[in-house]
Amino acid sequence: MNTQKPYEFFDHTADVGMRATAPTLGALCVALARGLTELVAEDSRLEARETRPIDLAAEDAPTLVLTWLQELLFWFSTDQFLPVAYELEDVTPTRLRGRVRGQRFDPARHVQGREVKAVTRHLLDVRQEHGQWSGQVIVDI
Amino acid sequence: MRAGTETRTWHGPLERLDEFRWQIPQSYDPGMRVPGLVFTDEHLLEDIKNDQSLQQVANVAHLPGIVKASMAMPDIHWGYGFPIGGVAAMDAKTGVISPGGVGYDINCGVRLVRTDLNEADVRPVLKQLVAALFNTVPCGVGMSGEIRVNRAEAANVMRQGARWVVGQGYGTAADLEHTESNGCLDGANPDAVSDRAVQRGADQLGTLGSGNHFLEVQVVDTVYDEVSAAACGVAVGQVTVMIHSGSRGFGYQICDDYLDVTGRAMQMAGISVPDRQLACAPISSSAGQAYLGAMRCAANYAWSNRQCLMHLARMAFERVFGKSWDALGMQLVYDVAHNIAKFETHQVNGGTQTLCVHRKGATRAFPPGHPETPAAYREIGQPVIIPGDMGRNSYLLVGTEQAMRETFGSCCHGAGRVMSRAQAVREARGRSIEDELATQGVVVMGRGRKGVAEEQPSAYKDVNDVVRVVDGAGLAKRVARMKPIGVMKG
Repeated sequence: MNTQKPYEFFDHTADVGMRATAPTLGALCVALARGLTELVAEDSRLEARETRPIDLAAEDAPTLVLTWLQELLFWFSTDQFLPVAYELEDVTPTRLRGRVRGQRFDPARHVQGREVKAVTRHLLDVRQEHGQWSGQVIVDI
Repeated sequence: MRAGTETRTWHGPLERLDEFRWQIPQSYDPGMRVPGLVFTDEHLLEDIKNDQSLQQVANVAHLPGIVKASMAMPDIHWGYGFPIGGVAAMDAKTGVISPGGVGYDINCGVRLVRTDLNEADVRPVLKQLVAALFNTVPCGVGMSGEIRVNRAEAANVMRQGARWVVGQGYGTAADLEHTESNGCLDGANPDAVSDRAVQRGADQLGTLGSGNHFLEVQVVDTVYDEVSAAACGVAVGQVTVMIHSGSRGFGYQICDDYLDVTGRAMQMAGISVPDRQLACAPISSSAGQAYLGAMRCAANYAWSNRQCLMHLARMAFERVFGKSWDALGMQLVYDVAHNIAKFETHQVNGGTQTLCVHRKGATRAFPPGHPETPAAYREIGQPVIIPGDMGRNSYLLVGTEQAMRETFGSCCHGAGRVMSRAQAVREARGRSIEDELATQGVVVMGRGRKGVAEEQPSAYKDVNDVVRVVDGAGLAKRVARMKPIGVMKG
């Protein structure tokens, strides 16, 4: 585990915001996904037991990031799948493809975090500046 | 916009009308179609001014078809597009419907169950009772419900709501009579619900969820109105059960789906709003009708969910006390929605108008004699249930004619947060909120590591202050106050 987290949380009255900066859009997607996983399962020790393909399209980078996080939340909501490793290729502002590895949440072994209701468009901001990608997103708890 | 994390104090105009009413004049922004009307007092207003909720009240006033005022209750706080604690009524013919005006947790709501038990009956077995509830009622992240529904049954839940659950043997006809809209909205359209929503809802019926959702064992500590309290079957010292939950992943997904759909419909209809989260569609449009059909499915799912949760709570009481729930007097007092949009008839400017009333973190509060007020409460008004935090109080009130005249029969929904989740966890560092509450006589069981810290009493406004405003303004009248003794958090 690296001690330096690639994302940070910020306060929003009833909910939680996440923001991250990364050299590429793909790395930004991964950083925010790690934040989402921490919200749901804290520092649970997760293993890459299962691999899932992912292929998403969107109209722009903010929508792509939103769609990506919504997809991961959907996986968790329907069969408790939590990602731990990411093999993303070909991430452009309109397309994300690759594989996500992880495992299902086990209430007996894993730590329960918050129940994330939704990843919202509220204050959603994804941009590329000075060769860096940055993003912020608020999740409804 | 990069900001948004720092709070921005309200600098706009705010005219004091009386002790409990403040107005944001329509002249504040040329796009406002009606003024903003905020129910609060000087003390609560200080917190309200410190986030962006008053700006959101003004923003909602831009929506097409809005009548009278964009309203805010004293528990108002910053939401997505709409403030939480907001009421907005749109003309049914010319107005819009907005998923953000209902919220992610469609038909999140509260139900109050009375019992014949007194505090003295429950205290000796309180820990056992809370543990029994905790083991019987699925809660927390990723927990499945005992009551699973297949696809065909899911359509029944969407169309029939709590009626379907009662038909399965989990409750009685009397439960339905004491549920807002009898636990079912007409016009639900399962075809307007995405597969993703159905999948997210498939195994969550009869699950409490997490966050601010809870199940509480309470004791009535004050009665304000003996006649109404007697009609509701509550008296000082008596034990009650309160359940706060909603439509779970099913409703969250429907909201998500339709924020996109109505966002596109809004552009097509040429509607301009000051905040993208105010996505809306004309009620008469296909997008508006599709959202309404799907929202009603989620509303019905939520009533089904709370009916299942009450059934499970009754089963836990039966196991602990060795008597049937009926013998324990565990009748449903009432169940109210506080995130919903409904078509209702109201008097506006001397005429009768059909309106689409959005209540986003606001509770219906219909008066005595209203056709939708159940027979048992016809004389006293519709019961209004206002939950507070897990350390202080919750309230039972009744709706009034004043609310009908002034707020489309609406009042507040709860305490409202004042502290962010991270701040609450920081405040709780080195402390055990569970132990602190235990010394106050409240047994708390929570599944999450941070859940109880995030939901600690000081993270919320004092519900007593909030209720004093709605009672003082005449929007609802206090009947009884409860204090928690056993709390189950997801």
